[in-house]
Amino acid sequence: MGYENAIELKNVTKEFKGFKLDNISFDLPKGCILGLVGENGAGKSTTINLIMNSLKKDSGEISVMGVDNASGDFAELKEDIGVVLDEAYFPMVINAEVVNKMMKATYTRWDEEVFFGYIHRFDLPQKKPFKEFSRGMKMKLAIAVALSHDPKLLVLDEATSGLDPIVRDEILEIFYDFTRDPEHSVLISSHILSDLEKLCDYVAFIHKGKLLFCEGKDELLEKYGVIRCSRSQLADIPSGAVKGKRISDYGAECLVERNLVSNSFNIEKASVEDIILYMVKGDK
Amino acid sequence: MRGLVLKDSYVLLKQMKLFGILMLAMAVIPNTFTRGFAIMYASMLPITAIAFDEQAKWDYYANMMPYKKRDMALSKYVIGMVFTLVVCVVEVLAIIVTAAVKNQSSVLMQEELMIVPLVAAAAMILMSVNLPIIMKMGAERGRMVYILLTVFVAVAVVGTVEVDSPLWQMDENLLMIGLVAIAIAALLISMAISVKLYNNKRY
Repeated sequence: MGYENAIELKNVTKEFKGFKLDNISFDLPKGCILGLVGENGAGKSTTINLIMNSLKKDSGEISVMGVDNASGDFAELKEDIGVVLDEAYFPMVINAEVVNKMMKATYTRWDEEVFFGYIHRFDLPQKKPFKEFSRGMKMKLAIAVALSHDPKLLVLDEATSGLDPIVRDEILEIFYDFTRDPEHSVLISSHILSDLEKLCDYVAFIHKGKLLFCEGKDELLEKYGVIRCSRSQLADIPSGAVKGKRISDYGAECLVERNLVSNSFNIEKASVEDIILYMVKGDK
Repeated sequence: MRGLVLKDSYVLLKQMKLFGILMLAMAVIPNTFTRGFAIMYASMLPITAIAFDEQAKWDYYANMMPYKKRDMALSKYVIGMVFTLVVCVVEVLAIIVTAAVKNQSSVLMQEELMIVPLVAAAAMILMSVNLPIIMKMGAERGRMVYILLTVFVAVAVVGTVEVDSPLWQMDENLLMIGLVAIAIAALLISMAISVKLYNNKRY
């Protein structure tokens, strides 16, 4: 299928009582991983629901793998999309074997060998009912389902939350392997910024319903830096370069745009977490 | 659609094992009331399926899968019709076997057989009224509204139709054709409403 971007959002707006997702635009290029970052209630899940067309947008355009998600062809295109939500919402009484039967009747390219391969790899029981699964086991089952129908795009909404660090690392590795195929792309939303920093090519940051930035991770890390200095030295930094600052009795720390600050300052490397925390919590 | 029906069937059979056995027992007992109840109960199973879906938030997840919203709505009708049909088949077999064992007259057997499609048609009409309400309001609130509505209609019919009304003496064949026709029309209208409701539903 000929498309450049696995996901394209143009000026997408959705308003609820007390919340507005405002004019969001970003692209996820094919073959890449884009991390959607933001606090609880920032609009990450709303964005994912809009992309999957389970919520209707008020305005704007969304296309997934070159197909308008409001068109009739989109339900069929979902065959190519593996989705993992913040929880696995399977009926309580079913077990992995029944999930296999259900999905076999749902996805035309369902591969039970791959599915049971993941069930074995994740050490999941085949006959135990879903209601007896721990949160980690539930998420692993949902991830196994998302990966077993030969998807080209993975949409992951807080898919790694609630998993212990070892399992999280293993699952991040699986997602990373998934994008070794240049046709495969991943959209992942997470609170765990260190996971995203490890995994993503692009980072989109949504804050109170607005997209503050969507940039390549490497460009982002190159663009911003942290300066630790005295309060008096802070006055020497051009105010236009400061994106966020924290002032304490012992000194000052600020996030700056590197190319707007003189080389005489010692600019330290900023992590994605630093960039986001300064932008949200730091004073301008 | 097949995946959805499979899921509902499995969930209902697993959760309602005891009720299922009771339903089949009632279908086999040679009593018109219990047989009628078994058919009515089968036609109400889609409500139970919707309640289990709501409990698991299944619709939210299913919306991410390649299911059409139309199929998500219609699968509940399929479940209702399939379970009702199964109970009807069990009842027909039970009536034939009972008649053979008891050496009943064929007239009596035919009369008993006639009641099965009549009750099934009435059950389908009730299901047609029921499902759009449940889909709009959810299983809990919808069930209450449905019960109130049924009581209201029953009281209204009993209160307005005279005891000696020709309606009660209607020819059985005519009643059957009329009821089946109403059931088919009700199902078609109800399905169209439910699909529309499902399309506008927010998860």
